[in-house]
Amino acid sequence: MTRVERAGNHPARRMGSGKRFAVGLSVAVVCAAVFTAGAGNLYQYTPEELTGPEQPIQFNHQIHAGATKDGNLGIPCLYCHGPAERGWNATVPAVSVCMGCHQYIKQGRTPGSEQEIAKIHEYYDKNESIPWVRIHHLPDYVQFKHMRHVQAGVQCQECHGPIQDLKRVYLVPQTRYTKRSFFLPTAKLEMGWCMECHLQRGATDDCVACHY
Amino acid sequence: MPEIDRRDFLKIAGLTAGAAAVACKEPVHNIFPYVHQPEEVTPGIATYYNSMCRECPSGCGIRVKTREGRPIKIDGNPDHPLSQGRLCVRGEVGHMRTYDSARFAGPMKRGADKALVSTTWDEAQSLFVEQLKKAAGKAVFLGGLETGTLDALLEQVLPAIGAKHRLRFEPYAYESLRTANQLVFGTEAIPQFKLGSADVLVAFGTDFVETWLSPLSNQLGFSQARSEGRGYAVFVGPRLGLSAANADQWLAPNPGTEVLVALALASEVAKRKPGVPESLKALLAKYTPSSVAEKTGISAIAFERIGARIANADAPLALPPGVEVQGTNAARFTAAVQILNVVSGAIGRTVVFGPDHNLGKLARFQELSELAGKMRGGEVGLLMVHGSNPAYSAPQVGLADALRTGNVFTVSFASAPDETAELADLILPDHTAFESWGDAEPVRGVRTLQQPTVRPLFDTRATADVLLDAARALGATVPAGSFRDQLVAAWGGRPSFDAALGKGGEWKDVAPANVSVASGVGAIDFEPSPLAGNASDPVLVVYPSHHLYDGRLTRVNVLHEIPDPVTKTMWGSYAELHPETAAVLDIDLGDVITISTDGGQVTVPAFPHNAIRPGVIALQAGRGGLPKDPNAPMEPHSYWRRNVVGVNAFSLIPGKLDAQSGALAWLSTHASVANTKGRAPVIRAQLTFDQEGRNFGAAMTVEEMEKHGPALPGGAGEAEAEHPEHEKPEHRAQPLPKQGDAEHLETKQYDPAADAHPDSPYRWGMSIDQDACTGCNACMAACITENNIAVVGPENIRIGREMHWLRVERYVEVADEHEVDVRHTPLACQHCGAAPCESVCPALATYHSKEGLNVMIENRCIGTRFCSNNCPYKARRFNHWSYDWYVPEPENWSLNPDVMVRAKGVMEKCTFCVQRINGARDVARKEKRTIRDGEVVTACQQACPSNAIVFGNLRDPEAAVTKLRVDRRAYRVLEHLYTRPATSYLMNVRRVEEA
Repeated sequence: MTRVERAGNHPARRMGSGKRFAVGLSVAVVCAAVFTAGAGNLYQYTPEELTGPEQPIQFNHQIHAGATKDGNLGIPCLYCHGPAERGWNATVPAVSVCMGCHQYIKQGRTPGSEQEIAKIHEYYDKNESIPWVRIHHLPDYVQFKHMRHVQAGVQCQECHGPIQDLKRVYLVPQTRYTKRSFFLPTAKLEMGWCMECHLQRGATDDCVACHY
Repeated sequence: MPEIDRRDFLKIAGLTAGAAAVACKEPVHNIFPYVHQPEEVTPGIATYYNSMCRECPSGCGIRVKTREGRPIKIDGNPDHPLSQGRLCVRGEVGHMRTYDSARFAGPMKRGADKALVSTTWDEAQSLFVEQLKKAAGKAVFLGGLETGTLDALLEQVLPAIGAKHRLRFEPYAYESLRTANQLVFGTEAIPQFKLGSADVLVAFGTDFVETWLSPLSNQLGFSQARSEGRGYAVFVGPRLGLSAANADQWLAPNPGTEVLVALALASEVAKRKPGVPESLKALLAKYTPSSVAEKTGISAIAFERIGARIANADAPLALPPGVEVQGTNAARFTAAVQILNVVSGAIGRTVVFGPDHNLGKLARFQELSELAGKMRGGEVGLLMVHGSNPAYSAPQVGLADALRTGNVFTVSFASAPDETAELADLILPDHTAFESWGDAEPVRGVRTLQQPTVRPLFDTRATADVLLDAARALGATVPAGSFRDQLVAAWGGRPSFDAALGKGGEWKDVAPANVSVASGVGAIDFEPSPLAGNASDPVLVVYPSHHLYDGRLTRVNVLHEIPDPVTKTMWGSYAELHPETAAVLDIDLGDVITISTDGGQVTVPAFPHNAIRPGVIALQAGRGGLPKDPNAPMEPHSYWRRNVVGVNAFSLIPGKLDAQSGALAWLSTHASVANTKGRAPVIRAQLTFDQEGRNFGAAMTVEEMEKHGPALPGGAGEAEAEHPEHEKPEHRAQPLPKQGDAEHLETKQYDPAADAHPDSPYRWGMSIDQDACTGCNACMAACITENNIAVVGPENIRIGREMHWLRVERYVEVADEHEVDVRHTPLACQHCGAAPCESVCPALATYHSKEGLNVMIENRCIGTRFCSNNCPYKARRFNHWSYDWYVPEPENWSLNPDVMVRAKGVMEKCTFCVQRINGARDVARKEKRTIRDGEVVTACQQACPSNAIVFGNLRDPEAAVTKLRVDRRAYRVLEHLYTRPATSYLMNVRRVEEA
């Protein structure tokens, strides 16, 4: 994965635009060939990234959080990720939270679910933590607070994608060409992407809101 | 056609080139959830526990901030009567001892080749029991001060395992005070000295801000008594230490004759005040000022003036001597001070018996000497050492030699290596204070609980449990259950234990006790005994370390790097002497000298400075402990982790005792000094104590202050204290504008609250009271732990790379018999309204936020350092290395996750604790309101034991900080440069003696 490395480049908000049409045009022409070769790949996610990493337990968000009309359980996100509403981190629930239901539900309806649920019991009985692989990772110099966003009414899906429909979690690509960055797409969990939303909603644009 | 700007171009060019090369994978990060999440813990949200500080015996209540089960910040417990929400420099970093990477990972024993090898607890425990059997009742337990359940349990368990003899050893054991109280009042109790209600204070070499009795509550009281120019303090002693620098007069009598000063003052007071006990009259008539003037070197007029001041005071207080002036007459000297308290009427008013300090059971130094003698004589079979390090802090008694003979099997319960543990045959490491249960009653009526705030990091066991198990293995009857069960039982079972745990303890008022002066006091012979050694040599003064106490904190790097409050030196020992003495001895700054006495010899760099009496050479005790970690990596910026810093000044004190009290005579000898002609670097933070007329730290006299009446709007521009005698234009190439010269810049009209966005409800600002500030460095320690500030080591400090966001500037204007005017100016980023740093940043990494903060976005910084160049306050720090990235496990566990760890190549500085501002904003937003005054408390403000720092919103007219900004003493540092600082200072108050 390359994105996290690049997150250090901070595509900060442009501080006013100079009229550099001519320069821009010529540079664009010079770079055109290079760009098509390179930038085409820029936000292409590898197959591995698209499916997300292999997790110790094949947890299926669709069954747990998917819509009930499709026969899923429709558990609200905050049932397991409660601290998203009151803390900085959404947190992965404690093993005991899984066990709250799964001490009774030992057999799911997808094939192989029995083995996966048995793994929870195994971790729980051994009094061991489940080593989930982290997917949403921000650099240390970003202080992101879930509660501020949840309290402001931002839906989980706005950042995490259609998480209720994911069988395996991955960083949902949301490559898009924004007004500010027309020439290049802005990708997931990058500052330009954050700022786009912040500016649209009139949220803070102070650097020190997140960087300290 | 869209624009392409420089950024997009660079992005494309760089990424195209790099696209093929970026096949490398990101490391896998795991998330480990709890199995059972504790009810009170939510990952990402701090949990606070009330506990007790164990970094010195004063037992202050603390509130430990933990994140995910790790203590990261220590504050005072606001409910605790001793700490009142504040904490000292040592307490602020106490948790660093738990995170010491060189701690014992488990029990150890001597292997075949006499080297320490790891062992298991089962094996270690059986070896311990076997040796206890072998010692057959000839075991001795040498521990520190314990006043709670552990103390009571040891009294029960130790006889059961054959340890009939027990010593509670502390290097600062107040033996003389106990004996003196016995002589004068017929009780050994150590009373409360109420600095908070004393309007005239006379300290006899008492380091009441640093280590004496209960330094934190002393300082709380001291600042309380001196608010708004009230209070008056006189310091008598050879050294202008931290406590002396906060006094208003400094008498430096000939070393050894301080007792005469106390008596002459008592005599002067007795002359003016009725009610002097008959038994003292004859004695006091003997010691008139004129009769002692010659011997002490203090003019008779000084005695008369101070005597009159004491006699006219409502609540005078004389503080008994600290260890630095404790000589062979220590008990009689202390008795003389208590006589002064008697004649001045302080007893019962500022010296209150009843709620006594629980130090009475401490062993006298003499008992340690006797123990060493017994060990040499083969009367001791097994020695258990817990919570003390006598091989380091009492080298005079020859305990180390006795241990080396091999006749005594030594068991050490130290959790980290120290000098005594190095000589031990078996090491059964105890938990640290942050991992263990405990309680104490440092002062009668104040019972404080200590609870673990982190799971033991290493394979350690509570010593009480080890002893209980050993007793059981020996077949003795001891209480059932673990130590914790005993603790719960001692607190009256679960419900009341839990209630006390939530509060931090239990405190109730203890009725004061009446004391009367014993007969026979008048017959004591007070004549001082002469000092040993060659009279032409300087007198050796050894004083306790403010940062390292008796050396127990020597492994905490932060404390070595925080500049000493007096000399502003760091990382090592420096022999302090007056420039006149240095000239006589032909010693320059940084010359390596050897100091030798009957006790021993040390080689140290010399540091001549004015804050010490001529004819004296002073060394700080507590330094020169073991190297931090002999296996530390040899990184160029962290090799200091291996090195010993400083020398052990305890080793210079000859083993002479005060015959009456059994105390070690710290001040007992002249020392011969020789210049080796070698040179050593003097690592220091501040190169001069002279302001060169810049009036950085300003002052005004009490009269000037009173002329203003109550606080005036518009600041104190007119009231600027001018010091023409300190103006030294010859030192300057260009005349600098003076403070107050800048009318054309309209400094007086400017409204600091304007320096924020019109829509913002906030303009953050700070006010620092220089008169309250004692220069104790607690704020620095708090800032360091809150903001993950790196320790850079002496090599980096030498080339000006210190990283402290907050420093305490010290300026010595006057320090003599008539006046002490030492100004302490805590200086961090001033968050200027017109900040010179912002305009020069090419990367917009520093800018003015809407709320008036001068913000530094470290991850945007490209490291040009222009901002630092342009900052007139020198408040910005540059990361020359990625210091904190190399901190070994588990030391890095103390990092605050709410603040980023800066990498090399970026600038950093004080943020006004923006993480706390944002934290308060989270709460306020949720409740749909603005942040209230007092909701944001910066780390420095929270720690300050003098209540000198106030932080708040300058746009709130009712905020405390807004009112202080227009106080009659308010001024802004270097405001004539038109920086429009957000931090205002309150001037020092000079309590000048009327001519």
